[in-house]
Amino acid sequence: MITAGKALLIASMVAAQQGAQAPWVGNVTVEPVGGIYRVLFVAMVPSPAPAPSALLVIVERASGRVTKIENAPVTIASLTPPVSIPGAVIPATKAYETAVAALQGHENYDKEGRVTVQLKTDRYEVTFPLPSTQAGGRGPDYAYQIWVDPWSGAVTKILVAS
Amino acid sequence: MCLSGCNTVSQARPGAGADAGVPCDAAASPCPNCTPSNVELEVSRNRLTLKHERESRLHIKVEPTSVSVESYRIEIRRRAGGAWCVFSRSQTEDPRRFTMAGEFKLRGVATICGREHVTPEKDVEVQFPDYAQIVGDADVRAAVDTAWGATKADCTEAPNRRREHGFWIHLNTAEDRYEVGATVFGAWSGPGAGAAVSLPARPADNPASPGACDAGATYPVASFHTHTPTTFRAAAVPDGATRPIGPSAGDNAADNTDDVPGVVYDYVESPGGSHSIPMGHPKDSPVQFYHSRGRDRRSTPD
Repeated sequence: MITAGKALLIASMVAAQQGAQAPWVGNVTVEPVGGIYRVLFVAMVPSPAPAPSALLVIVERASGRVTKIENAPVTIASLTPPVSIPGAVIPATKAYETAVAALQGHENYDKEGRVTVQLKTDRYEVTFPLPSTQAGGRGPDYAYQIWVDPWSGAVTKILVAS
Repeated sequence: MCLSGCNTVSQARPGAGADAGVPCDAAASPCPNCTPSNVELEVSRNRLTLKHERESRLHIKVEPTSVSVESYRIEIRRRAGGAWCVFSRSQTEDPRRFTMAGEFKLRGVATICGREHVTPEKDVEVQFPDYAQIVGDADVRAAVDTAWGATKADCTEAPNRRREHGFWIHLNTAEDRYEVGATVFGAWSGPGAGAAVSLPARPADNPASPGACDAGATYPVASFHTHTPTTFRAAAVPDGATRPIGPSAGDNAADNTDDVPGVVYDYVESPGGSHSIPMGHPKDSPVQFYHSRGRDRRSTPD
């Protein structure tokens, strides 16, 4: 099985090769569903009026093979709209890679679980899921959440599970 | 029946024979006034809160006051249905303390010359206490402070572990006091892992379906759990890591499912505005309650 992070990188690369908007600035969600990962890229298209644009990439968990690329329905895209911020913003995949590097040596999270990268007004929030043995009950929402400056690419905050 | 000066139709005592021959002497044997112009139940407060604002004045008003009333009673039932039960056999209850949660109908009954006159019904809601009322109670504070002390004591360096504590907060309306259920402990967590506690689903009321005229019941009204110190976690997490304070989205969701407010005991953010605390935060740093927003108060039952 490939990890969710690997699926994100594969999806991003294949989408770019197929002419999808690249580099992707916005939100990314990697969701394990049975034998696949659903990798959803959501960005704000600036014109004519800001609106979410979404791309869905299906990646097989066992092989890492991309089986589908399609524009996602706006209704799905609008569920997690990123913030549209000015300036030269790093792509979501770069924020993810930066977050992974920040966790080196402390990878105590579910590597095949749901990973999200969300663009806020002044940061990317990269969220890593709890190990399955720790989930449930009245407990933390994630194992780690890494904040990455969207312009400089620097890590600005590392939150661990409470 | 009165012989003279009386309206025998309206004022005759039932069962009196045609020749009962009771003279209508206003001093010795006045004819009863059996015709009220108005009979109503006055309720001074119709939205109450168990324990904290649970009193209302109930009064059966009969007009004119010259009407001869043989007996009174105040009845209550749940608005959703069910039989009426006798709440009081007095004309006035001041104050009347309500001990059952719910949406109720009240009515008064005045027996006048052997005939019952029933007032229009009045609605009364008796709601559960809200988050602020619960955490403001001294018994609750004592219990949660004890749990926080135990949480700190459980956080040790060798072995390096910690765990959350939790329990249900109940309101015993017969005793008019808060009580706490058995403490539930979360699993031991190492310094690199998160901590959680699995409270059971909201317990049933006791009794499970209290009657409108019951003396009281014990109701679960809020969940409580502690978060844990970070005193000994620094070596097991990335440099500079912090942890968020206050209820998680999972906490909120659990309390929403249980239809209660949640009380979370956790540290005050440090530094101010960070919404987090650092690793190695001293155990005895300032703490506060946080409201896990399932609800502000448990929903009033039907």
